[in-house]
Amino acid sequence: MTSLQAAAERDIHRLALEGLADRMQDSLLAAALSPVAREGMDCAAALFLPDGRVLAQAHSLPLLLGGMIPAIAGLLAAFPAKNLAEGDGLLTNDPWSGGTHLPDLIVARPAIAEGRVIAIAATILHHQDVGGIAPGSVPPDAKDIFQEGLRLPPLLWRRGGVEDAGIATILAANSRTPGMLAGDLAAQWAAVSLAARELAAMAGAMGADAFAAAGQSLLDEARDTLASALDTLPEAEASAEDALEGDGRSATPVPLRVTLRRLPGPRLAVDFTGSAPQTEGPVNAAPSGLLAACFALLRRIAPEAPANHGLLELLDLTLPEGSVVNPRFPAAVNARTATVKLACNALFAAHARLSPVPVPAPNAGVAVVLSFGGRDEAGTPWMFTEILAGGAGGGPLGPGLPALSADVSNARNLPAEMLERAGPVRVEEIACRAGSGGSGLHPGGEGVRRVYRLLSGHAEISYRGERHLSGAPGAQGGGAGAPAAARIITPDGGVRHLPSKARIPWEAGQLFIIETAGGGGWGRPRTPQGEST
Amino acid sequence: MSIAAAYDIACDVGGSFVDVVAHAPGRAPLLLKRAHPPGMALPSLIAALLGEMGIAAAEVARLRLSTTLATNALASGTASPVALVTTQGFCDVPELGRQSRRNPDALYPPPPTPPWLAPRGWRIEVAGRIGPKGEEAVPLGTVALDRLSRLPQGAAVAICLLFSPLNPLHELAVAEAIAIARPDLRLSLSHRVDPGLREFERMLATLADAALKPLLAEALAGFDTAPWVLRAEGAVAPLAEALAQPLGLAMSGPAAGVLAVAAWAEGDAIGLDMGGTTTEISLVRSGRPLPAREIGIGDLRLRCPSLDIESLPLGGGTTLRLEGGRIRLGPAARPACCGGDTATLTDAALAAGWLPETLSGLALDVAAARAALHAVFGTADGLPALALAEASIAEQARRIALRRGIDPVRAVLVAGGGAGPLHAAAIAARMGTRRVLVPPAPGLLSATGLAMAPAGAGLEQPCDLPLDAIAELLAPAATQAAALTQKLATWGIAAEARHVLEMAYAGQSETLPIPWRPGEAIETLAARFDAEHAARRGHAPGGARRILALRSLARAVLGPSPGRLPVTVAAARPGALPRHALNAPAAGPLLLDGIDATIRVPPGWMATPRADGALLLEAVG
Repeated sequence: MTSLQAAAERDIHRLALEGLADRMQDSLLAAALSPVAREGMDCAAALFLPDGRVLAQAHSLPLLLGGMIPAIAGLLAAFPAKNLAEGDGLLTNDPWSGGTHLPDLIVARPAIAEGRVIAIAATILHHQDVGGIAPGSVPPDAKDIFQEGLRLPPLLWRRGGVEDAGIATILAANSRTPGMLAGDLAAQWAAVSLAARELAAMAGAMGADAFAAAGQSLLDEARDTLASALDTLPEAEASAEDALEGDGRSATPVPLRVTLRRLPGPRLAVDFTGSAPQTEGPVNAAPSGLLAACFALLRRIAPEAPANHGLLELLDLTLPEGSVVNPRFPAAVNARTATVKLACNALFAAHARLSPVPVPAPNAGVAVVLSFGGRDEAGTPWMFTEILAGGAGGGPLGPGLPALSADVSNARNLPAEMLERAGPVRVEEIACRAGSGGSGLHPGGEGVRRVYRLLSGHAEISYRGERHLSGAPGAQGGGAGAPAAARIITPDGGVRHLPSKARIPWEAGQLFIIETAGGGGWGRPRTPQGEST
Repeated sequence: MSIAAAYDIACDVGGSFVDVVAHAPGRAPLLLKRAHPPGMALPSLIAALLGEMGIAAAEVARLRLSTTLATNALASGTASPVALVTTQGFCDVPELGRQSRRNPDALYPPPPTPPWLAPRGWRIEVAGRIGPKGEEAVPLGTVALDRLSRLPQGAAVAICLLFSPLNPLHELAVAEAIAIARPDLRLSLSHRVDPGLREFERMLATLADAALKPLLAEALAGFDTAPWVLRAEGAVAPLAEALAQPLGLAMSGPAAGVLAVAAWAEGDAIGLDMGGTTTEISLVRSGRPLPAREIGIGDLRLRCPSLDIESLPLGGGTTLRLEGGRIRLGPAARPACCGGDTATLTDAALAAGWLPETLSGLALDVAAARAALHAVFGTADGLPALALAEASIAEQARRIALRRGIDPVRAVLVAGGGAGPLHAAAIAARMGTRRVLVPPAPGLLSATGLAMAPAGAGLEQPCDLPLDAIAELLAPAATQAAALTQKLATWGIAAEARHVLEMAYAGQSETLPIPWRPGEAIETLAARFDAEHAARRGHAPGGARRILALRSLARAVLGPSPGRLPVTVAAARPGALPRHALNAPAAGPLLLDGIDATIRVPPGWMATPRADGALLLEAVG
């Protein structure tokens, strides 16, 4: 075989594996019931080697995909692949066995050819409810894991395709929405079963040894591609810091710090030493989230490389034990998303400082969760929830886009024409928030300004924001984006400024104004004479 | 003296080629494929081609047109910039879009609205509100007409006010005020272009519609006999009607191709229309093209009634390069064998001996193809690149089909376009499809589809009703049906409308189209929706069913059927068989030359010529 033929064969094998992962993702989305999985796309699919190394991923949310990697390792540590048989199903959601937070259930199934396990197919899905002290299993004021829901250490959930009746009974007894939990688990099982079937056929056609060799060659390609990309980084280090505005129980800032070191080899060290100790509130992030953030960074450094475990061979990750990025049992972890998002942003900021090749400045780094609920004049209850983004960072190719969902999330906004049909609210403005993007040769994207008026009755606003106190940093001499702000304006012109976390009453006639944060600017701004300063 | 023939002419105007299918009662159909000369006005071009075919102007009974003009203008940003009138507080909606990224991996996601389409200085906000029930909540304010003064003569303006599909009062008033102040401006009103809720999607569709108006009015002027033009929904309409709402002309050519795929399909089919720059994948269920509610042109997603077509950026002109030892497929360019300066898939196919040295009247330069491949790969062997491109199309087509509930193992792949028949069997093998059908003139797929296109139009209105309240739609359905019957009557066509409900379970935002005959029992509709949901999405979760839009469609046959098309004739060459010479089943490997396309039968495949002129390829064993 010529080298060109070999390269084409490898790419074709990659296309087949990634195509299969994508079809698992489609199957999951089509069959899932819970709105957060269906509409928020909060689910992912990937393929693994029998030793737990990730082989291929669907093209879905990078951070959810990366978050599955340690969970598969956790499942295989408890149930080694050599002992698994056709139709076995593994299940976990345990943050201390590689999981993320309790609503994310990970399901895995071995693919078998020539009498041995040749791969593991896996899916992760955010379920509607797995118990705990609050509906939805993400209590904002949880103090420990026991308040957050049912914890499932690695379990042999199915044998020969048949669900363990005891486990099924326990699951059903511990969810507020047992039908939805069972239905979504069935969707996950259908997706991994599809993959197990096709992988077995693929390995059957090419031979199990050839299948293993083809997989290894894709991992080598990823490692080698990343190594070439790392060679362009100077042997130096760069740090970035940021802070969460409270842990959900208090407003005390929770600092995050990350240092990136390019080591000889080349290797890349990511060190979160200096981040806050674990918190009482639920913003602690299990290691899987940080590994996922690192994986997203490695993919950004080597975008052409296949997204597989070869990338992780060159990573040294340090997560101090007992910190907000590696909490000890039994920390509360349900609100990890804000932490992972900010950590991911800090990681990208540190990389921007290290990289000789210009990369975009950080985005606003938050997803604001806004819930409105009330009763209209007839006493009928209404409610809706929005997730709002801030600006994207400016980059070497141009300015950042305004109000764009970034990295961890891909939530869509709610159109005024949908929102006004949900309750007696008039949207008076949806605009780019002028001047909120960080200054620079290529300015950061603007945040969004949304103005809502309550037309009748009473309501309550639940506001979960970040970035009221500091803006997203710029890169290459660009300025920071503007921080976020929220306020109520009463009909007499009175203004009440809100902190980044608030639950407040809202009366008819009052305006609620939210302005999300801008993205960081990129490059030194030009002076009016057109010179770089 | 013979009686003059009455020809029905179908003309598909593509970027590189113009294809013509002409048929008349009692005459053999005529086919023609010619390179598209740049810069020539369309009416003169078509007159010249008809002259070449020996058809006199007086013999043209009807002219049908499908064109890539609109698609290309939107894809390349050469359509006109548009001024935009919005509700006060909403003029930034084009920049904000829906906040999500289509490709979460993209380091530089595209803006939701291309900046050329809606210049920020050309925006006007107007006070006044229509409320969510269609009521006038705040009276319309004054339009700042002085801001129109900076617009050039004949410029396009999009008017998109909140909730206009529920009550167009304010949009109509704004349009009237502008028409008085600047009668030269071309207006697109959002409630007419796209009567659906969600302001960003409607605004984008309205902007695209307006952007096409100046260009198409000019490009499609000057016909002695006004042509019928194919719209994305898969039916032709009189030119004037199409120009009044030109967004429908986007995807005109590919939609014509799907009609041909559907005509050749037996049951479920996947269409593979592979040309020079793109490959269109379309879907047919039980012989009917699947409908869609948006069209994709590059990064743009435009809400518009259409046929379900996905366009992949892979075609004969796809360029090849080597990067770190890996083959990479790049944007399309002119093949080296046709005078271009870079290696493409067509060059690889030519160097592999898959193509004759003359294709559709173009001489192909084998030496240039080999040299270009050598420059890229260090060898003239392009087979690895061809295999990679085929695998890429196969993986994408398989995913597209499965998403719509079409099983590639059971469906037939209908191959067309200049490059489709060359790659179809290899692509089918990779996606598990066992049958490939190649029509008699595969290189003229769009023109043949156009020749059999019905005439038709549609109307839609949004609603939000529980299924139980369907009686509320009886009156609007009757009104829409009457309006459509009346409209088609003015075209000289008698047609009855049928109705489709856009339905979803409560909480879902993506709807499914469900056929509805007024008067049907609610249980019947509920069961039909559940079954469709199960077929398309793999399960029927149950729960409250809602109706989110009522669509009415009128379709009528236009003119006689083209009948059996001739199999195109090609000269003999070593290593290949002229397609018409195959008169019994034969096993691959085999190359069959038609004048418009070459069919490749790989090893393990059997080719059988059929009485209707099509060629059936089947996987053996």
